[in-house]
Amino acid sequence: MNETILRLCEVSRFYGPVRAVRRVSLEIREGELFALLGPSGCGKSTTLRLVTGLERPDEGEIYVRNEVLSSVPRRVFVPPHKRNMGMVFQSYAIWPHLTVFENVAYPLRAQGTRGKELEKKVQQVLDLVGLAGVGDRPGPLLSGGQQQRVALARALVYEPRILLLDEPFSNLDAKLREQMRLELKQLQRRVGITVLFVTHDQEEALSLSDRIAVMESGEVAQVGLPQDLYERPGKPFIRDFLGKSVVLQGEVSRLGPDHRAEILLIGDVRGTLAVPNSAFSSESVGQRVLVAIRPEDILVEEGAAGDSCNRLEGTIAEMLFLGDRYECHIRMGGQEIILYFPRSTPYREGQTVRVHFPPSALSVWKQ
Amino acid sequence: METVKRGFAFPISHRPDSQTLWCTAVLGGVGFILLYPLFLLLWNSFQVAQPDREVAFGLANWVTALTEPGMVAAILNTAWLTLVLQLISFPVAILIVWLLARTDLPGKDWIDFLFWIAFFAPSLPITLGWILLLDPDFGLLNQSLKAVFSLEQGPFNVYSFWGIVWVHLATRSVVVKVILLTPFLRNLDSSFEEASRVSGVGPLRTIARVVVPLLLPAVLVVLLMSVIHLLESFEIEQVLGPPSQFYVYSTMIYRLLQFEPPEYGAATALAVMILAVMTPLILLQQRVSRSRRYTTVTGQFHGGRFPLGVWKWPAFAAILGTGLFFTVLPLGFLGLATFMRLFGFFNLPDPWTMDHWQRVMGDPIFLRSLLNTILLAGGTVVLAMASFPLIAYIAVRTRFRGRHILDFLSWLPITIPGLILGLGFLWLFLGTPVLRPLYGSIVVLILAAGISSMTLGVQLVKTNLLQLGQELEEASWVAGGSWLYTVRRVILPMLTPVLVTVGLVAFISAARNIAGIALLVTNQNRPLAMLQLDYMVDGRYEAAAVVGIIVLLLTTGVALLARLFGLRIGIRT
Amino acid sequence: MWIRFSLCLIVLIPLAACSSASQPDRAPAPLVSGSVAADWNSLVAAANREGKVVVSGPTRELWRTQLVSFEQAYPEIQVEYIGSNSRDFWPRVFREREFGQYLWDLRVGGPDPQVYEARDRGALAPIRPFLLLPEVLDETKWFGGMDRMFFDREKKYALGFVSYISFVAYVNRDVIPETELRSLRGLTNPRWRGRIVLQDPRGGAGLSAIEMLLEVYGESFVRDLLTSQNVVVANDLRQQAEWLVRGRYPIALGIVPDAFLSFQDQGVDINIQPVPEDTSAIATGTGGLQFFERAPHPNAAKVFMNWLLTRAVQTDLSAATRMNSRRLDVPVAHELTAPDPARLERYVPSQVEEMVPVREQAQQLARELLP
Repeated sequence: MNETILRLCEVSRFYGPVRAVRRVSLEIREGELFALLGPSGCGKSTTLRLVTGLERPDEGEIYVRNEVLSSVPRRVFVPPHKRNMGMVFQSYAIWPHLTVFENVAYPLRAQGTRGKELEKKVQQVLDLVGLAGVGDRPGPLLSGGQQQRVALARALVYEPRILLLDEPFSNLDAKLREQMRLELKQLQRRVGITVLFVTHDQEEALSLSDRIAVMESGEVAQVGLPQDLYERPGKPFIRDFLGKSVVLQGEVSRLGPDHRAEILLIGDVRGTLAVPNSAFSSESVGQRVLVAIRPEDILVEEGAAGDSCNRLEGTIAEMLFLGDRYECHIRMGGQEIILYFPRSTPYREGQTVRVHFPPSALSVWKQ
Repeated sequence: METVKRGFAFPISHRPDSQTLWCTAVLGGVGFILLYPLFLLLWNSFQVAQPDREVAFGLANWVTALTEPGMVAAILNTAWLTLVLQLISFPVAILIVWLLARTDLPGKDWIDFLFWIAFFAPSLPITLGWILLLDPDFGLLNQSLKAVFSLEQGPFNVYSFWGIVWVHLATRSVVVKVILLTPFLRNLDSSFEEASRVSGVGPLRTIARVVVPLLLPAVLVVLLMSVIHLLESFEIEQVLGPPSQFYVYSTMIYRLLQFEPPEYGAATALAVMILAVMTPLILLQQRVSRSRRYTTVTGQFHGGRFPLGVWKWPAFAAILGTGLFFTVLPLGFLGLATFMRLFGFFNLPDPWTMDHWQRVMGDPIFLRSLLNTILLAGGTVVLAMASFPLIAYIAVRTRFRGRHILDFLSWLPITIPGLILGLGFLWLFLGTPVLRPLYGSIVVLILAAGISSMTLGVQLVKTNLLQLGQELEEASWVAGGSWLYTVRRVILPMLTPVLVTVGLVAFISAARNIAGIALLVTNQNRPLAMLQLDYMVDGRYEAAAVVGIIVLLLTTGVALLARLFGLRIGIRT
Repeated sequence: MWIRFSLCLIVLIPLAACSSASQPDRAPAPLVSGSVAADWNSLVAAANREGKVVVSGPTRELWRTQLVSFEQAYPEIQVEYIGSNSRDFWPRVFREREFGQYLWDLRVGGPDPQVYEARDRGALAPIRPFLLLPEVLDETKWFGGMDRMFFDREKKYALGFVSYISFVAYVNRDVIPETELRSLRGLTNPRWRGRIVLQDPRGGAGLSAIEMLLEVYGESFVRDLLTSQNVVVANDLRQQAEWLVRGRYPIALGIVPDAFLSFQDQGVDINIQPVPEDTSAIATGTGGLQFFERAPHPNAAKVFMNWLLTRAVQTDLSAATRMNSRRLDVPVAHELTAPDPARLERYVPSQVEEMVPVREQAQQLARELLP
């Protein structure tokens, strides 16, 4: 396991009564791609800015390796230009009065690098991001994707310890976004730099990062591997933010053998479901709960439900052809769930089907 | 996108913040220079002259000022005049600005320059020129229309409310708005407009719904300044008002100062009331500007142009015509004035002469005055370009606690009429031990002229700064640039276009400043503007026009020089 | 662009070079003989040592040229001349003196109320004791004697070296024939409603006009005039003169002849006459002199004031300004406004300190009645 390169200890930032960041603690390891994920206003961008030094924390400490970047109790604060971090802003912040070359060369010049050495480094990093021949172009004449590359090049040219990205792909169109994501990942692997990036796009966070911290209302809700977060979200908020879920209302009816419990479904959908029991005790019986499952884990079978375990009856209300797949609306009782079927699916509108909820894929939540 | 307010104070350490120290020093300096004279003026307004030549503390001056006969009418006139003028000039100006800055109008650059020349032109001789055309009895236009259409009476009367409105429009009102708003509109990312067009909204409605709201801070500033300016302009009203007895607020102030002895106390009271009325508007403008929605130049600046299509040449003709109207016409008047024996008298045996030119140029103090004007204007430019961006930056980009006060202070100079401000300067320079040795030198005039143009200069830089995204500076900091390095390589270069504008405005303002420096001139530092005033007072309009042309040539020359160095207004795209 | 700019320079420089200033050929310094000579010469020597005299005076180039020509008579004394009108000048002087700055030697300007205020504040030094030259002290050479030359109560501080008849009203006789409006009383005739233009009555000649009307015809007359005649107030001398000359407002109150005479100079045919008066005001206009207490160059100032009042200088000055000198041995510069020394009783000196209350009352009336 690589060692920790960036550490935040109980960092807070207030704007008057607004608590933008609340006692956030994070440890980011060297060489990893770490995402701060959350909806608008959750404090992720502020956290990023606290790391760069563009904002001063009101509480807590920030370290890079053993070096204190800012510490409120010890009254230490290192200004941004001394932190040796690279940052790509959401708007890219390419200086319009400088050429591409000069934009990238800026940090080196600020440090006093000149002449041949400067040229070499700039060219190298421009090659790295795929902008070899564009050096002379003035900043404003670049496309969005090119600007982002320039911003990246500028952030990397002085070989910083950490690279920070603030919603780097939100201003690109969908196709470009996918392409740039891949390129970023490849670049990061190649260069080996630690990357901390901020995004509200859960698909982006899931696909890119080695680890994710989900933030809500200024706090870290959960930190973990993408898969863990997706499959085992610790909070309803995370469950709903990452991916989609089908949620059913129920009540704990009885506890069974083999670490199983039985949930009686109430509300719009009726039936019983067996779920794995890891958290229930005898007192739990009768409790209202929510049962959640990822749509992709739901299985659909032909025929009526019968009495088979965890199978409920449903009717296909609508099937919408999306080109590469079908969007299928299945009505169960009073609720409608949406599933996706491949193009080759045998099912048709109006058909009655059995909707199978494998117990292993179910998670139960307090209501 | 995060909606949390981002205010950035460039922090260095927890020790006495050197940035805070600097900001406090600036605030202190500016505060002293502005508030001390203001306080003295205010104090003086409460000093009531008693019959036995003693002074007592009292409100009599204020009462006099407010109960001055004709005051109510003057206030109403002022309000009405302001309203009408703004309602007419703003739409016209915005349309012109939009055509100049956002479309593919041919010849944009030099038409823009035409408006600058119009800005340089002195307004009093031009007023006289319009009298020449529109005098109800002798106006040339009236006479020719009478002849052509066999009318009894010429249709135009320049000595009327609408005459005054017309002359305002033809001199300052529209032109000032055009040159101030064009750079802002140029910096407007065209994606906003394009989005509007794509969704089917026509260009005019796009202007109204998208462009104007985005320009709101700049528009508010310009509006506020136009109103204040109007409240204090009296030259035009003084010449055109008497026959119809149309008096405005500023004439009342002026008249109080025409008494033997001048009633500075009452005049100050009136001036302070302008400030009181303007304060809520200034605060409103501050609040609007503080909202961060107006960042339009980020790294992704896209300066597209709206294609005019079939309207291109008609629009070109219209704008060119307008530009020429504001320049060629007044310059024609000026020229006429200088070469006629008596301006407006065409049927003399020998109406044309070089005499006025010779006499002005041959005046022993002419050359020295010219030199003084160059020194004065040049010095003011240096002072302006060094200090106004600093003040604007502190007000807009830092989290220094006194920044709102500093911003408010920067509005003070324009709200006090020049005549009163001049007295305040006198007190400032005589009463401050540090400044007293400078009394009588050109430095004092430079300071006075600089203070007079502070409001416009600071506002110009401020609104430009608001348009430039803060991330452009932050990117520099993160990339390793210290604050000074960032200023040098990012902030100043991006501000250069507006700095050029500020410099030009400071130059012309200094070259033309009369009221603010009248009490400070001596033999040594006397500039051309005073010479022009002397000629006017002496009734020698023609000689005054000669001086006016020379000042105009001077400033045009400077503006051309600025152009030569490729300094344009707006971001290079 | 360069071409254009250099063209301007090329045009401006020769124009500046050509036509040098027309300095009047000044006679050399007056020759003094007799017992006064010794005093005078030592005064001049002391003045030469001071080397400079600081004078504030009217802004008109004419005055400036005339007054600076002192340097020709006394080459070792440089004249620092600053033109400013009294409204700007006196407040500034008072402020300066408050802060201990004593910068001025002399003021050439009319005796308006601020002059009396200056005297009360102790800013003025008496002039009379320092008049030395015989031709200046000769009683017979001055209109009404030397006492009349001084306008202040004590007859020593505020001097006036000009005396001209300040007619209340001038009429454009091309518009209003001589047979009509033959006396000032006629001003209130409804026929002339809206045809009268008055110079700003807050000071100067405009105020003097109202002051005279008040003195001669009384308050009700003035009230009548200012309320019912729709009198237009002009702020600008030239504007008023032009309106008079063009006939737009054929009756002008408070105008100085020089204003419309300059039209005549340029070739305009004018027929402008004063309305006949039985009693007329005599004024000195801007032709007054004050001497400052604690002047930085007192001796030079004393030389200057004597020089100013000599016949030669007064001759040139009055010819240039078209304002009649108070000296009787100087040719009349303007016939029309030359007072008759034999008929002193016809004249009211409108600017003396004794008239200040009337003047103030006139100012009050004007303020009240004119919007």
